[in-house]
Amino acid sequence: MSPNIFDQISKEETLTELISIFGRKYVSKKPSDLYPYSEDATESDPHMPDFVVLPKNVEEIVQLIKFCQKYSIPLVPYISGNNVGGLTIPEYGGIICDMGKRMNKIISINESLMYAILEPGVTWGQFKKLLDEKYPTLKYAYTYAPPYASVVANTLLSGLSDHSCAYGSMSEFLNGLEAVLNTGEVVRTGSCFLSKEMKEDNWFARYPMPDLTSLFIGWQGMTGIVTKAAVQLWPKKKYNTALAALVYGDKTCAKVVQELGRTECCDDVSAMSSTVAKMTLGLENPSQYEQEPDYAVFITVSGNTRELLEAKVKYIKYIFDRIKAQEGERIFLTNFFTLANLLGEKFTIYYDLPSVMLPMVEYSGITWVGTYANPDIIGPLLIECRNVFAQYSRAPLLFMKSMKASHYCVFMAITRYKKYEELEKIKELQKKFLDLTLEYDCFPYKTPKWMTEVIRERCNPGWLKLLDMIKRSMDPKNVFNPGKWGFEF
Amino acid sequence: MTDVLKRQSYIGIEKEKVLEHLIKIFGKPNVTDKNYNLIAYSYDMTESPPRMPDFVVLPKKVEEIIQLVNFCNQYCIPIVPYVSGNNVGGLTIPEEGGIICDMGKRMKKIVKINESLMYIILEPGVTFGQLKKFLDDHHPNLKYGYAMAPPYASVLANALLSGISNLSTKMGSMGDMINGLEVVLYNGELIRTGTSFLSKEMKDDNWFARYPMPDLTGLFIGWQGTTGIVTKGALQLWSRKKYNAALMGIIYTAENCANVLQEFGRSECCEDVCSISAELAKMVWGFEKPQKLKEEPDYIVMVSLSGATKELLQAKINYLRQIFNELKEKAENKRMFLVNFDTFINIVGKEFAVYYNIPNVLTPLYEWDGLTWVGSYAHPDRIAKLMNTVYGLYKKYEMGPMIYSKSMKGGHYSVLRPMVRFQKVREEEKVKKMMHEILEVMLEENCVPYKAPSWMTEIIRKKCDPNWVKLLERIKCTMDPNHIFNPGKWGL
Repeated sequence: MSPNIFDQISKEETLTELISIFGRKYVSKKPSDLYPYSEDATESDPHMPDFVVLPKNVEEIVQLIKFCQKYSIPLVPYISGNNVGGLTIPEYGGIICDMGKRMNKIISINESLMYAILEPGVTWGQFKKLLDEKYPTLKYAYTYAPPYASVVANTLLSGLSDHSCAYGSMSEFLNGLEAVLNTGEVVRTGSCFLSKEMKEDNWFARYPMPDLTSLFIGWQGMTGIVTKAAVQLWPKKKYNTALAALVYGDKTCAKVVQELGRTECCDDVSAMSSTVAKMTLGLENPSQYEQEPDYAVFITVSGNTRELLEAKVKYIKYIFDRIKAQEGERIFLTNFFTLANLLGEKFTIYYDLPSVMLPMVEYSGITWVGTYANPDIIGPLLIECRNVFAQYSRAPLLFMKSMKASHYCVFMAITRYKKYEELEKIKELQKKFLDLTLEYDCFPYKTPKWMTEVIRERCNPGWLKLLDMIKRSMDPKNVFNPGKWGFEF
Repeated sequence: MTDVLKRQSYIGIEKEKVLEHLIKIFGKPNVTDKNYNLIAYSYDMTESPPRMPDFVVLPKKVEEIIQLVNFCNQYCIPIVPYVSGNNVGGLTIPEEGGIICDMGKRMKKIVKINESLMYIILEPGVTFGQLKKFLDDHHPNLKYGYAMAPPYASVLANALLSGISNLSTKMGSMGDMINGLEVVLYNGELIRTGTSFLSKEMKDDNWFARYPMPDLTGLFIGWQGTTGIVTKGALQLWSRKKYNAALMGIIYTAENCANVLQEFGRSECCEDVCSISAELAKMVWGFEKPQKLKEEPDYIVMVSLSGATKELLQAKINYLRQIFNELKEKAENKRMFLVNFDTFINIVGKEFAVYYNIPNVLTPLYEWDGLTWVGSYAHPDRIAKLMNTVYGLYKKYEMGPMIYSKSMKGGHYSVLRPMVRFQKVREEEKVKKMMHEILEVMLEENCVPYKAPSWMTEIIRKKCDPNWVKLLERIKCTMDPNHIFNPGKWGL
């Protein structure tokens, strides 16, 4: 049974207090408003919040936190709810702090030092539009997320992007954060800590002082509410191209991704099973025919001069040919746009990021076991996951990406499903994928609650104790997003 | 003179009993309380005030460190982790006495290398020289980012202190090269951060990433050993390219130098771009007090780059030349020249190659008894102004300007390091005053000192976000409630 979270103050009094902080228009307790916050597209169990508030500024969040801490009311930070991990489902009810609606300012761009200061509600689409229009020499790295998803949340959750092969996890793009702590204190991490007042012009690096930024990375909002982030931009190169490879064989595909990643010539190297590729073309239940390739690999490359771009492409082709000779498999490398011309314009969504991959979101349910993985074991893992999909009579939706020049990679087994008809079956399937990926030393990212429970059983107990120590220190009353990572209310 | 310690560490237990206990843990040959052994740990080359430790222990394995930490935590005795003492920040000076835990002598195993996933697991005592030799001999396709430090300095300490390397223009701070750490916490608990946390038995073969779980690695980066004793680190290696080149810019004016550093950094073609003032360059030829003559260039910029193919390397060089020429075109003072590094060496002498073949002992830096710097992460935009201001301060104090700078992570930020070698007894007071003045100037321009000595952190604490300091203290209290780990650093 859920604990009574309003044992120290009544719901009516809470509503009055919230209205005094945010104004009547920006507080709701109506089930019709609360419902969308109670679930996401995954198999995570739903739970209704008690209130939703729409803050406009940090001062309001400070007041909110002080109130919630005083009365031990759970507080869940929310932006767009697109995390595909149930991370903003209020496990114990309480207050959803939705920063997606009114805290979406791009506060400043430092063109010379190549960073942007963003509020949490800034979306990929909004950010890209601003950069394209006003700062055409700069770019950010974009994800396979919809344009309405949050940039800051992606970095805090160690998401990936179309530059992950070159630069790694999005968490490495953070120069620093502004966060409101359990005490209501507003703290700035990164080089911006160096002045009493917030100066926008000195948020250029995360190090070298004690790394307090880490207290908010991967923590799923459990240590404080992040209200601003300084993220790194990169120079936009003048010459760009994209290649596509058609690959037969799981192990060969894994090798192609790993080896091309290691060339240090690619911005992005991702592979998807041909069924994912076909899904993009609008097939409802895509299946793979006997003679079709198993995977499509996408490679983006850029250079400041034509000569540099060509030298990179040439080297990529050389490595590709070497793999072909070694593996003896049928693999083909072509220009991405040639392939897109053959297959139809829809295919270019893989290049024009951020974009909505309609087939992914057209069902009521989508979920995945998305993991950071060891590139060496991806081949066998792909084969095993393919078998699991077959057992459940589902098309194998597999995705992988080379990260930080193949120091590691990301592996995902994706399932789209009909939520209210297939939920139980999908839960079972997800558990199988989790067991399998953990067996292969993969580590799930944007980890749903049910997965963290399994991980807690398996992992180093000393690590868990330290996790508990830090959580207790940062949030002694367990008010911030309780229930995640096993921190029950 | 070395001061006596301030802290009363031996209230709960007598010093003699401590010695007995330490001998029980480490064995007699690996414990000392003799002043002639201790004095070497009481100071470094910087202006930081010396303090004597009470004991030095030389651990061999993690289990001994666990016992040491349990013991020290029980009796509130300070422990200072030490490897080679080359941090140039007084970071291992035991401010409150206690026990120096010297891991540089017997904890220096290269535990494992994963060639395919490009990481290496090291004990703290592994040195840059040892690592380079090991990789060159056994894994010639891989390299690490080597620091402009002596070959006997610790690889892991450099990474934990957000040091810099000859891959920093490309990859950034060495803090970002860490996949994970093994640490002994104050309660004797042994933990691993990074992906190796995912097994009860702490496997070495799955330490391939720092993220995406809650980032506990950061609890030990930049903390100067105040949150636990790091006993292993998994660090990223990089593939060594077949074709390599080095260029050299000979530059007049700080403005031109700063522009070259920033634009070359942003080109994403260089592994390393750094600059040295003319006086620092001349130091390698053995001048005691090198002076820049009137017509000599102000700065030398050194650029290293590589390519998997000859075409890739050449394309990078061509692009750098194009950038250089564009900068020259726009520059007020057009005296700036880009040459091949080897050509330059052939003209000026092989001594100069120490700047390229690192790790290396820059002998002139160490031939005096004093060496110090205000090393800081800095705004690329403000480097020229800072170079000029700091140059003026060197002149004011009649010291040879030794100014080093580096472009970091694709030009996102820089490192600026005004260095001073000095005669400790004779010049220390002057150098202290000068360092304070340089620090003030650099803080004014938003620089953040790295490997910051205690006297600098005291000043920073007064200037910075007070809530940041409170959070720092909160985490410190959580990680080290009895205040045993390297007390006195960062004002803790």
